[in-house]
Amino acid sequence: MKVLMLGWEFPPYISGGLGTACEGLVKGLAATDAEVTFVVPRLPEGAVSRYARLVDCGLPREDRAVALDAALLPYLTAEQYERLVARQSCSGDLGEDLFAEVERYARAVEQNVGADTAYDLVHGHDWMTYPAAIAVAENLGVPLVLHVHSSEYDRAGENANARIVEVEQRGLDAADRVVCVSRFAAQCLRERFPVKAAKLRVVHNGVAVPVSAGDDAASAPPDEPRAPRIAEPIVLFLGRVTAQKGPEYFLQAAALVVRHEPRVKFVMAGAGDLLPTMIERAAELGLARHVHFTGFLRGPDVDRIYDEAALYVLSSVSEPFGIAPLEALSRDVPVIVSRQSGVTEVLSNVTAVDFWDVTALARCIREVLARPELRDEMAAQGRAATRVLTWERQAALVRDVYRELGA
Amino acid sequence: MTSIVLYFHVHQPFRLRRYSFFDIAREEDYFDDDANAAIVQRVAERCYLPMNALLLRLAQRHGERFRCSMSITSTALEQMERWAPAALAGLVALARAGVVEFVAETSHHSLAFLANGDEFRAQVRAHTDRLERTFGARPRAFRNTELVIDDRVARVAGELGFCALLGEGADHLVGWRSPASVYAAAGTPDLKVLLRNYELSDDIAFRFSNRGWHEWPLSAEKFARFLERVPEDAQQIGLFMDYETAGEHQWEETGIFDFMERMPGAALQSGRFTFRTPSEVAARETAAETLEIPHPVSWADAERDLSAWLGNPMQSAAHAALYALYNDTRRAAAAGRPELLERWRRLSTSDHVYYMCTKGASDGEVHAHFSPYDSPHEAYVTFMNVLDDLARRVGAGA
Repeated sequence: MKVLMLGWEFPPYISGGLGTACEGLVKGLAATDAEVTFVVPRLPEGAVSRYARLVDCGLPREDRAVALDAALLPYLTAEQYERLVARQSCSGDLGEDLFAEVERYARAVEQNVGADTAYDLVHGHDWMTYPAAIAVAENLGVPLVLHVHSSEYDRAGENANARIVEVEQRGLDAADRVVCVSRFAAQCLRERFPVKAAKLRVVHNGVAVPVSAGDDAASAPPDEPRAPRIAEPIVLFLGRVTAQKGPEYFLQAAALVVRHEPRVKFVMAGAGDLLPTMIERAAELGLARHVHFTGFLRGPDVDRIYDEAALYVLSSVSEPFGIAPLEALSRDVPVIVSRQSGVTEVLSNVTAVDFWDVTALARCIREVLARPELRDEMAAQGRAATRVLTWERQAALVRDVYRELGA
Repeated sequence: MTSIVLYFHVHQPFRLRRYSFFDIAREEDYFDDDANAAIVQRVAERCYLPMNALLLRLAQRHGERFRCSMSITSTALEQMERWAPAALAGLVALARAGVVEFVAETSHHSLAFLANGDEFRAQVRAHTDRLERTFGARPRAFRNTELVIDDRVARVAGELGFCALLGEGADHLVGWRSPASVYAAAGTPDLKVLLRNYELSDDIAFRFSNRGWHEWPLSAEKFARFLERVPEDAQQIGLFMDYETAGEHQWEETGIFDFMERMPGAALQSGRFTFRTPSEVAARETAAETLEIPHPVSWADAERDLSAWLGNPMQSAAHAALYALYNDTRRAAAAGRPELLERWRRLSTSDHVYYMCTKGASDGEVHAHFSPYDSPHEAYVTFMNVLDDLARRVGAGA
């Protein structure tokens, strides 16, 4: 069977989990009978996949910075996007906005997807692709599957942008099946959108086990003597610094922890619209000597910070899935996760707290740091979950959804 | 006869490298020598060298009637020694020729007077000695960092034996009185306070090239007419500005050098004025009255207070964290690591917290102009990473 899959970004250039998830799904589907054609507004240089035909819609690149950033930053709010474009586009083309980009993508998909291939199904990822997916599925007369990695309410809470919500609602109305990345996400979706329960399916994301673990150890030069660079335990926040990720709760918990344990370091790794505010908050909360900010981290630095972390905290306000804790666990870093996240469904016995309960979060942080044996226990659990949660297995579940639609 | 006190400030901070969290406990090299060298060399080309030559010409032309004064931080001195020795040689020549009186300050352009009286005195003493070694005369006038004065600063300046203190003639300090009077500091009657005439100073320092200013273009003759408007009984007119005003803040193309070359001659024309140094004015004039300065006054921003350095939580936190390390740093220095104290002192340079300022509007533009960072937050994050490393090295832990 042939799947026309619409995405917004593809590794190596990604802004968050979406591109990674799409890559994993495509790879997993390759083990089934599904042949995937994956379309994006524009492909970054160096994007290759052995598992799918990648199609570049070739949206205009005249203003490289804007074009690139539009692809990189699908989770900007519309307002942030406008500011970004206003700042970068000196040509004065201020008609640009994220919605126009989404519309251009829809038109480009219609033009780029010829009748040369007989597709059995269209599968779109997140709201930026919905208009394109709806139109092309209708043109081709094939079933439509939409994949909700996050909804506007997850990303923006009560500040949800009405136009994005409208696009999402149209997608949910038009789709034959809606794939959610957790039961938690499906529940949130039903609370916010009138959507027929019969359409909803839950398929958790898979986890790509880091190749480094075994392989590198053999090839890498012998480690330097293992005195840690920083003696204090490091509690890590790693993710976009946006309202959705609850960075404020992380800092509030930090303030409670250092009252008792002044020798704990907190590291907030990542960039986002709330980063300046969080930096100021850390200073206000008396955390100047306790919290460090790294900005956005790339590959090797992500590995370094996981190597040094004693504990990973996912403080999200609403996290449809949340892959980062699994990545942390796969690197032997124990985790505490927000109860408002989908990842709790795939981790038995994980330490979970309500995102708003900073007292509980602070207590849990102190407990984990005080009991190093928890580290091994949690890491073992994480590895077990990761082993089960392969993209091959999860993609097979997506293939089952296609099958329900006769594809 | 009214004295014109033409005073220039010279300063260069040791700017930090992009010091990340991963550099902590690994990288001992905090300072961006490449950038610091490039900047001091650029400023030397554009400003220090041509201004040094210009001041020497003015002294030759006007003889005894032209004097000026200058302060230079030890961080700037060190950078000139290393990377722009000709600029320093020019300053030494000006001092030896008696054209320039060097004014004392804190060695590192710090805010120590706010946080630690011992360190404040230590920096002033160290700097006074250094100026005497370099320029051959012991400074007798004092200016605090960013021209910040209050009653405490005046008291310490008096205790340290200075005869004159330079300060900002801010409206809220001067009130109905004149910035052109010579004042005695409250509680330190022997110390004369000379205030900056901010209108006339900023006509040159800020407005000179502003085409939107109704007085633009400013010629030497026009400026001389402004000076004539100062009341007859004025004791001194304080024209205080950065040395970099010529060539760096106001580019050569604006005609600033031509202005500087001709202004003293135009001012001297009427015979009403003579250019004098702060200690000459202090010796000559009797204080008109006593000035009380309960709250710190600076020459920065519209507020003329400390808000440019300590106006937001990042700045306050960074400042407090720096001074919290002071005792440990002194101990480490006494135990054989004097370089750690020097590093601490370079971090005490007020520019580092100035870069963290989040003010908007036109003052914000001034801040951004001087900052090597993309944002105040980046400045703070970098500074705190460096401080964390220093804390480990002085044994203060986290």
